[in-house]
Amino acid sequence: MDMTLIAGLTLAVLVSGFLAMGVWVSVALLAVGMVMMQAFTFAPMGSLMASTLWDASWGWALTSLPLFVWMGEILFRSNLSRDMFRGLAPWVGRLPGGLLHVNVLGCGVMAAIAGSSAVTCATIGRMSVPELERRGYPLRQTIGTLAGSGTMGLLIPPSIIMIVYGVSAEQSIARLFIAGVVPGLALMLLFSGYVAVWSLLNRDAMPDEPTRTPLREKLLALRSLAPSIGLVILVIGSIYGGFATPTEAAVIGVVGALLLSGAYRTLSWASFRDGLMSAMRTSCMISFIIGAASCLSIAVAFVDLPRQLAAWVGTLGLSPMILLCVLGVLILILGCFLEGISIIVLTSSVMLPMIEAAGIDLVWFGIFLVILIEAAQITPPVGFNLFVMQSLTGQNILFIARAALPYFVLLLVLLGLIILFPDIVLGLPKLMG
Amino acid sequence: MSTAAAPILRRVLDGLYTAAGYLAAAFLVGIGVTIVVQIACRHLGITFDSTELAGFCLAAATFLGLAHTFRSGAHVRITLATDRLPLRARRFVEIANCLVGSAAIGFLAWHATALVLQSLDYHDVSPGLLAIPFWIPQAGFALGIVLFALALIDDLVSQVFGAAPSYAAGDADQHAE
Amino acid sequence: ETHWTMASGYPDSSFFTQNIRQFIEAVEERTGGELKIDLRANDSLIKLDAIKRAVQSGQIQMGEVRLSSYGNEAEIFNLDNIPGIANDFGQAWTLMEAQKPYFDEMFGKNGMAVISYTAWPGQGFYTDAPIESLADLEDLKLRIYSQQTQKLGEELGAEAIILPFAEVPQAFATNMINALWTSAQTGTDVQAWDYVDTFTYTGTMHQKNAILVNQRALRALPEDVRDIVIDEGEKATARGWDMAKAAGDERVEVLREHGMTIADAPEDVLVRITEIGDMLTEEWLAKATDDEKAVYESYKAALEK
Ligand code: NA
Ligand code: NA
Repeated sequence: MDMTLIAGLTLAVLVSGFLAMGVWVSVALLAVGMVMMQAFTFAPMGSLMASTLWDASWGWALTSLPLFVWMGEILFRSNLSRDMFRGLAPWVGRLPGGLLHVNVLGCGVMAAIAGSSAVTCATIGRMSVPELERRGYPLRQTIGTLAGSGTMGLLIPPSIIMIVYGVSAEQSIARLFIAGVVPGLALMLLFSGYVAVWSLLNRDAMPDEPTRTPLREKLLALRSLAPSIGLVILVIGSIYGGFATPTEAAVIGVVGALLLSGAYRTLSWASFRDGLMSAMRTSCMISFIIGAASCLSIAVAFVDLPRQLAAWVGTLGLSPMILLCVLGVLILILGCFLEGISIIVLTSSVMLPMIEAAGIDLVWFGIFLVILIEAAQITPPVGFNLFVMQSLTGQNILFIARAALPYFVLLLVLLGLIILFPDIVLGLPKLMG
Repeated sequence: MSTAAAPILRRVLDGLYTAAGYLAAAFLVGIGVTIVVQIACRHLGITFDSTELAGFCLAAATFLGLAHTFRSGAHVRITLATDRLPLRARRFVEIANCLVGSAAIGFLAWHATALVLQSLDYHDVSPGLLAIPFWIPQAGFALGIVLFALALIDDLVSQVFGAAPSYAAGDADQHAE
Repeated sequence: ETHWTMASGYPDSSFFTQNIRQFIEAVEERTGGELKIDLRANDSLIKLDAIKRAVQSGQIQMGEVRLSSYGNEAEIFNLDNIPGIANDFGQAWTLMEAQKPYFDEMFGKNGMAVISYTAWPGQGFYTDAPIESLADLEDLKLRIYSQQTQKLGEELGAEAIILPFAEVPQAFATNMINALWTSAQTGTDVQAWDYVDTFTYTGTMHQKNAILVNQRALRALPEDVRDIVIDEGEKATARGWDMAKAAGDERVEVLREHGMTIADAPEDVLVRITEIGDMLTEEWLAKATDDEKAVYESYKAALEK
């Protein structure tokens, strides 16, 4: 335990130190991985870093990331996002929270298409940040709703992380997917509810939306929504119609976006090139952080930190409820420094037998875990949605983390809810038989 | 920098980063193209497995884009502390950052190159239906990291000689000088 | 006292991992803790396909690989991947013994030693409707995973669709595929009962996993320790075959418990698989080197005995 403690502290200090200094996030994670492995293991560090980075960089599941980011760039450069907000404004503009709900709803829809949290956040954010800013919504609320709702990419199926958990825990992936639906919807309600309450309490901070619009105009406004609804139907339809796999569907989104952009007459060589180059930079930044995070994970795996910590929790002989809480705190701490999938892979061999022995349903625990990993996406210093929002808004990470804090708390509320009412998770799978 | 050769060197290096950036963008399009072909083939009843090819395009798009992304200031970092520092101290910290980056990425570049040579030596071939020798996609991976290392060292040297960071444009807050 | 790191690609519940655990326990006990092996299963340290290179380059000392993953590197790896080549565990054992000297030399040249083999349980079809004759396979949307299984699927009249493992559940849900070709082990791994009702066992395609050791690491061990490792490796091979049989049966039971119908493949399907296997073997022989062909000949000769 001594060595584990020293290694854990070194990890925390180095990551925080390098990041605070202003070292680029990806470079910092790599450098810390190198130092950790060199200092605490006898493994051949350089060659492991290179091969780990390579292996983490060409996965099939990751290929949808640049495509969805590109789709967002194309749509941002067409008039689609403006039209979408114009169409929605007469309908939701006067609700408490106004167009902020579009972030929650948009992320919910995007989460049903994409399997990752960064993709969900980046795609919707690219379209909504400039629009909401133009309409005078407080930036902090825009950022918070996006960073928070983006995490639903993990909970609402499809979800890469559920597949990883399903294989490790030998649980049905189909069942996990189904189990995520109701908690996902509950989360949308929680987020939207919070947005509404906040805006009622802070009327001054919210922009004045136009006064009551007549129904006729409302209906006319729907026309501006048609392109975005059409695109969503095209992409979701291609998945659920069995035409394309979820990963492939990203390319349908890009093709659809290009066609729409053509129809809007905003597709020029210059806008195509700018959109593509911008997508390349964003996806390069995110993908390289993902790769670097794998290098840090492998270093930490060689040091054996997560497994030792989980094993230590196992020695405490806790009651199921306390065990869940302690594991939850442990995962949240790991989640400040490590990337979600690695946390599951590195702790599952020790954690899952403990959970099984405590008589906890493994599908339920999978959702419990996914919600914790969602929360980890918005905790500093290492939180993918924070990085995505920083790149979209140029705000500093602490501002973003503070903006996302209420949503972190709401995720914990959801955890409490599924502990109190396990049927939120298990209801639908039970219906499956 | 003051030597006469510097502007030419500057242009060559900038051209290199930008060219690799455009290449990365081309590979991003390549991901889409391979997937379109895969969908089309499946509906025509032809078995074409693009999962590996798309993955290799992704790796090329990521790594070849590193240097260009770096100079555009698009690699995220936390400038909260540095922004509050006085100018001299900030310059010093910025140079330290470039030093950390040059060392880590330079070291990585060395081992990434070794990985390519090892794959050549071992005759490693991808397991999928297309059977692509691993050194080919790995060459793009290594080249991208080498260029990134070069860009970091480039900035390190320039800043030591008094230039402003090339990547400052994208940082959260513009430096007020 | 020596510490080794070992990587493998299957979860703790898989019999492959359990067999490795028993191997490690036996080695540690017999060497009096002289050699300690730290197993990192389930892709947690190194991804399955990258384990060979990791052992070869000395990143880790030991690892378990799936030999048929390397079929693109040498034809020998494809031999046990041909349907109909070994139709039961006995034949799979004979094939392993025929391949062993070749593998020893080949891996030896590349700085590795193979100390143990384990066979996969045979494979079969996962479908909605029972398969009573060859006609029932026609026009199935069958998920396959390699060149050989692609040919098998197509020659049986099905539509062969290659998909990464991770896309399987969604592909079932959206009707992109409606059948799988795999073992009872993998069938329970993906919880096939969520999608299909019938498992039709054919008994064929016992691919092999192998435990590789980095040769430098092996040579660096004291001689008595090294002998124990090799001896326990051989025991793990024998045990692996038994565990594979037991796991095959046990996994079939799991499928049954979840309400699936278990059936043996009808005669005409088996005959057709053998025909396709013969055709694929011809193709294999055309591509194989003389040494690889010799392996096949010696296997055939051993079967005759
Ligand atoms: Na999702
Ligand atoms: Na975090």
